[in-house]
Amino acid sequence: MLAHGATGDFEGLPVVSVQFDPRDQPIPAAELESIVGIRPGGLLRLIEVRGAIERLFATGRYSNISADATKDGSGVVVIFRTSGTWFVSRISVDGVPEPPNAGQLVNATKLILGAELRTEDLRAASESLQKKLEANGYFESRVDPRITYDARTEQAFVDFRIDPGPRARMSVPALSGAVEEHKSRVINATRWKRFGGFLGWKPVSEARISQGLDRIRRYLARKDYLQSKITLENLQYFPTEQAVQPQISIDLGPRISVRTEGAKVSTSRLRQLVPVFQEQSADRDLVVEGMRNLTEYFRAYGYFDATVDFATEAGPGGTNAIVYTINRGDRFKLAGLSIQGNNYFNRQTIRERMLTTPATRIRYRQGRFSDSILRSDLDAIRELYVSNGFQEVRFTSGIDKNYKNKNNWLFLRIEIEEGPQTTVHKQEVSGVSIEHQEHVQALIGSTPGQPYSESGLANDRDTILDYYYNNGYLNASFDWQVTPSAQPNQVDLRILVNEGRPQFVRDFLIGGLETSDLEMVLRRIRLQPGEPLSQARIVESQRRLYDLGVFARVDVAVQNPDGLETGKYLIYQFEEARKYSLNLGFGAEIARIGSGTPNFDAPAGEPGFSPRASFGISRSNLAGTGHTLSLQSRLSNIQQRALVSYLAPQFKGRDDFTLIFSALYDSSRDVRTFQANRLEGSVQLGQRLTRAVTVQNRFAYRRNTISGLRIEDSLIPVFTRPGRVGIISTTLIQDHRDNPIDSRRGYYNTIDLGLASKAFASQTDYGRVLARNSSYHRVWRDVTFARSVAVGWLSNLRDGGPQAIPLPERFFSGGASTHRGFPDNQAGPRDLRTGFPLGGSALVTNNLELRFPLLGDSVGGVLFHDAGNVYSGLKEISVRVKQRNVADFDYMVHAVGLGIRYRTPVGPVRVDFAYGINPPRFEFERRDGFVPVVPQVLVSQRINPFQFHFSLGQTF
Amino acid sequence: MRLLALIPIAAAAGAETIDRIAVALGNRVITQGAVVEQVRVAGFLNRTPLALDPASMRRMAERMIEQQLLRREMESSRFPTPSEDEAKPMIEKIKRDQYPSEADYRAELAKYGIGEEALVRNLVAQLVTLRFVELRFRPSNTVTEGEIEIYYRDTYTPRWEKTRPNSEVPVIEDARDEIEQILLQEKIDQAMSEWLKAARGSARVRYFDEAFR
Repeated sequence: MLAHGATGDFEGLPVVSVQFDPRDQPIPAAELESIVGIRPGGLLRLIEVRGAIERLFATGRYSNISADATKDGSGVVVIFRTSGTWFVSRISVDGVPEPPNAGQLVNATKLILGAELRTEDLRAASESLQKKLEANGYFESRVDPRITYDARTEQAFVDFRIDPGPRARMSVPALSGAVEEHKSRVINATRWKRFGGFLGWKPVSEARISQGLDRIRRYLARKDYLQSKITLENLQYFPTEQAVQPQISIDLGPRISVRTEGAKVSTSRLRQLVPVFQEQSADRDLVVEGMRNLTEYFRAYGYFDATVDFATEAGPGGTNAIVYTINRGDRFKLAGLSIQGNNYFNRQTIRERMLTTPATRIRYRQGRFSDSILRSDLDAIRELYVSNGFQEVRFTSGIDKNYKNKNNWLFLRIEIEEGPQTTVHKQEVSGVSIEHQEHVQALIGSTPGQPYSESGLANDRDTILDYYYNNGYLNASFDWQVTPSAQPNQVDLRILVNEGRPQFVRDFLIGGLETSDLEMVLRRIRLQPGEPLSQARIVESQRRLYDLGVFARVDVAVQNPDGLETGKYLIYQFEEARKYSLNLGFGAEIARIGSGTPNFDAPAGEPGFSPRASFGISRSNLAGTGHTLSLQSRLSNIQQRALVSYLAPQFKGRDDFTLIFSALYDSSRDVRTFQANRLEGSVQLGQRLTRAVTVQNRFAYRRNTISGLRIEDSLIPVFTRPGRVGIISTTLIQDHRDNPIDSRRGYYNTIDLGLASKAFASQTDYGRVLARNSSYHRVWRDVTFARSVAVGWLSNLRDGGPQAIPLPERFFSGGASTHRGFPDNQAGPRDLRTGFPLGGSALVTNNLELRFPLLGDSVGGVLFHDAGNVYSGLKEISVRVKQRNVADFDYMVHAVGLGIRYRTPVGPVRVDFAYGINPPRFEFERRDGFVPVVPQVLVSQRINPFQFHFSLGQTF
Repeated sequence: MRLLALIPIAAAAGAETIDRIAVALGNRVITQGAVVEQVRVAGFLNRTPLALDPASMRRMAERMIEQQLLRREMESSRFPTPSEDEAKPMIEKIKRDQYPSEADYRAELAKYGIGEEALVRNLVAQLVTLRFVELRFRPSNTVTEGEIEIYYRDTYTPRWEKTRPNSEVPVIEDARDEIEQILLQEKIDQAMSEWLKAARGSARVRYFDEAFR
């Protein structure tokens, strides 16, 4: 009991010592001393004791504090008696078969990682878990919270052990409301029965119940009950049957249909435009919104005078109909647009912010224009001006009809009155400590002479606060005051920064690692104890840990986030991903791939069908190192492939290094001439030098054998010899494209240098260079010119000439991503007897593309020109366009064509139609099976000048 | 301080509690010492007998919780705190109006167990709270002509007739300013009460019973 009158007995006495009970305090001694502020030798002031208690409690580390005093000679001993608090460091819920999954159960506890653990929170968490379990059919579950503590770091580990008991099954729902005539259909709509009820009812899950209710809603909406209200009143559990009866209240509401008059609108479009369907409500606001949407819809299609009205009609049997009466009016074309009065920004800068588009020949035949589009355009232009200091910018717009004396042609005029530009006259920044002044000043864009705008200051605020947050000042704030300057159109700016106290990393509290190596984790955390608590580094560390691919969940939290202590524990709580992952796939390929049986009639390829199956298995986080071992296999009648790889991402803890070991078996017939069997082992060290530049150093050792050779092995025996190739290679990739999937600007360079040598136990010695340069240029708005050139050269470093290089190592080209005038891998030299491609030792390909929008925003077109070929040697490279004879393949083949691109989230779907201007002709012997017919009959064939290609992604 | 941790804790015997937490509001606390001081200052200012019983302490703690809620709002809006100098005229007025001499004033302070610095501290806190309430709640409240008329008819006139039966009730034009001030103050009080109720509802308040025994 505080002696109300007696505390004054200690006031003013000299402090002999300051003590803590218990002695071990959760705050480091130096910080504790600073917080308390009462030092031996000073005089005791009760107001300071009060302040010390307030500050100690504000650290968040204590649940209770009292201060005692006792006289010691002529002085006083002050004792702070404290009770600590506990912070949630792990939340786990075990023992429940999915669904619900562990994450959903943890979320259901509503406990927050790093926050104080309170008794009432724990009780609420148990209740919430119980409800979650019941919602998933576990009505006999028992929740047993167990807490373990780590007194040193005040961590509380909360583990909920669940005995779920049996999962209940659904049963016939009890429906209340006037639904008798729909009862059986409503029950069927839920899909809660298993195989229509033949196998009873499905097990209960929250998702199943929710989906069932949604399906009832959709069923009733199809019956025009657009205002129906479906409510799950209760889940009645019957323990003996272990079954749940959902008690569902259904208020059908009136039947409401929606239709249009005056213009036809498809049902699906009507459902899209009239929110009555989505919101399951026919209140007036939604009906009016539907009217506006319909108006905008027609106006966007050129019916700029379109008007829509609505009325509600009562029909028979208590039905209601919402009838939209549409008066489309004439269809107009926005034929022109003028923007005047713009001095500060040029027309292009303004147009980039506008959706309004005058009519074009193909893409926007009527133009894109409506009142709302114009309004949003003017708002966007206003924002542009205001953010550059033109606070008083004004707009007027007008439409000229019968533009150029043509009926229904419109011309839109936009007049801009820019008004004066307001600039910053004086700027003063206060509250920034000396150590940050230089940085902060450099980050502020609203400096004297610069345009003044609220949005500019808001950007400054975000930049400055980011700077502080990333330096541990988590409570920093930024305000500003603006006053008109003595000069016209100028303002004086006062920026007020309140830095707050910086916070630092005290230490890491890492949990949840079962097999993962702690060192591996620590190497990826971009923070050290004692460093500022940087938000950016916390996020980056989390990203690096996720990038390892071995954690399903990486939760990061600051322990005691609201506590005003300087050093903060940073909690990293992990959930390791499943060790094994499997994938299984089936597919098929239809292309000029041959029939899969020996066939000498079509050396240039013929359409074929190849079913395909694939299987993969991965074991991640091997021995807790974060490394992954995987097997990927593919089986089809043109390819059998198995790849075993060992991936060490962020090798040695460095983001920029990736190490891969791989072993490959591949037997493929993707080149029609032969079946290549490859057995290969390789090691590759990839390094990202900069954001755009990557280098890959690789050593590969492979054994190539050939079977199913379609060319005369007696003529070219070296091809059939088994060949062992040891090759060291380096690839440099420089990627400055804006979007790798669908590039519109930037450039992309690669150069691949390889050397196969006896020094690497290779049976063949050759050098290989393959370089590619692509660039992308914006021509006008959405029109892009893209070009790419690829040059390759194989040089045999032993006797025997280029022909001595084994067939699978040679260049093959032609197809959707190289030269579209050829089928896949059909370019270059050919066997003179069978006509099959032989590959070459030099390669040149040049691609030019003009990419442009075609229909709306999703469909684009491409005009292209591909030129090049595979040549028999470097010296044989030629730009000659004419084939000298049927044995001459060393000339440049040209193809032009048109492509269609359909934009999808995974890249454009591509169809290209190419016309080969000078495709090669060649001859081959007619055969009867494998045997040439006697007397010899030569058949002349030409690569079909018309080629089509279908694939995903741009050509380059 | 590290060395201090090695010193044996003073024997509990003979130790007196000089302060402790009475109420926790989020990560802020009101100590028992602060409650006692506030009771004493209130007694001094109101010239009421000193009442340090648990019920009085609890009532004062309730008021202090509301002050803390307001202070939290003030801090988040960076409301400026007045200097202690601004409390001096108030103290001078108290002395002038209530005490014949400086000695009487000092004796009264001693009777209530407070020093002048505690009085100043509390007056400054009251001042800043009043200013903040004015700023925070007044701008959104205006008094309409209809409200003035209703108040004049239903409250002002009956009260005047009851309290001053022999004098004529002023016409509404003469009473307008006074009524407007009354109604405005009522609205401010109401807005503040609603705000405090909402803030109180979302705040986590813990009482430490030992501080009120």
